[in-house]
Amino acid sequence: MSESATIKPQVNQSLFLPFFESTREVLSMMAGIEVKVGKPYKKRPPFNYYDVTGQINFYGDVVGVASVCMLGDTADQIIERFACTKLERGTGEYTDAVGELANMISGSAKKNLGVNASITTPNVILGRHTVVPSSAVPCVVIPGSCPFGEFAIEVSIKLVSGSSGGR
Amino acid sequence: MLNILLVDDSKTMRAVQRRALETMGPCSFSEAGDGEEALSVIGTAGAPFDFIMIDWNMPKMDGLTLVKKIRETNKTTPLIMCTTEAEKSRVVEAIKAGVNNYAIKPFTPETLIDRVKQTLAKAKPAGA
Repeated sequence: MSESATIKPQVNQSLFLPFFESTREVLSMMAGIEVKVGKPYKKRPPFNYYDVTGQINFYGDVVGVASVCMLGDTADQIIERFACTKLERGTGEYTDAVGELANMISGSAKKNLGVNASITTPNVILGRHTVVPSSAVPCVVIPGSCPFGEFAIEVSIKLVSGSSGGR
Repeated sequence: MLNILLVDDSKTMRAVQRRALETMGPCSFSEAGDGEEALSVIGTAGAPFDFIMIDWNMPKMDGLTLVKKIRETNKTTPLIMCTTEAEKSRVVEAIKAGVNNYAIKPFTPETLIDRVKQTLAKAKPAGA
């Protein structure tokens, strides 16, 4: 996780700052995991590789996607704490837990975006992959760490023209 | 024994809710992964549920639609919306549709139990 470009002013901070608190809150309350959130940066190539990603799409006054991205061992341990049982990667139960984690982080952040937005049911990606952002929407990477390793929240959402939201 | 229906498209979330609610005492759980399945479970249940916990965002039939469908024929079973939808406008919308209480994800087990106890206390008059 070595991308390090600083955030340019055109990135609307109000659209990704809520993910800081929601990530901390969800992992603490639902999994008993204390999280440290690092300095966010604008995503640009070369992209990081992940093994487990849960994605939630936003629509309404904001559009885009938020991704909870993890390496395999870190994901396995976070999911075990969240589900209170050891789940095998690749099973339906594991995929379900990753999706629900992404759903709660995005849903919890949504309430603090200050806009009228909705979210979709989650999409989960397993296996070594990168998350390639849309060229039309700036993507901010929020690096996080916990006792089980590092992870990232990648937020690629923007206000729809004409909406007045974003705090 | 509490007879409970959990409606959430996440099996993990239903398990988390079950673990929390089991600490209240003996419970019997039925589960559904979406609104349509929930209506089917309600229609074939042998006994009425003491309460139904309902997620908002689900495939096939969302939680708000499910609440409205249930309230067309059943005004009494307590309904608790348990969701990430935390905006005030959503809470108001759900209450207008007929939910009795609202629990926001993420939650601690204590918070969830508190919501259930509040709901059941209001649903059953003292001494009933």
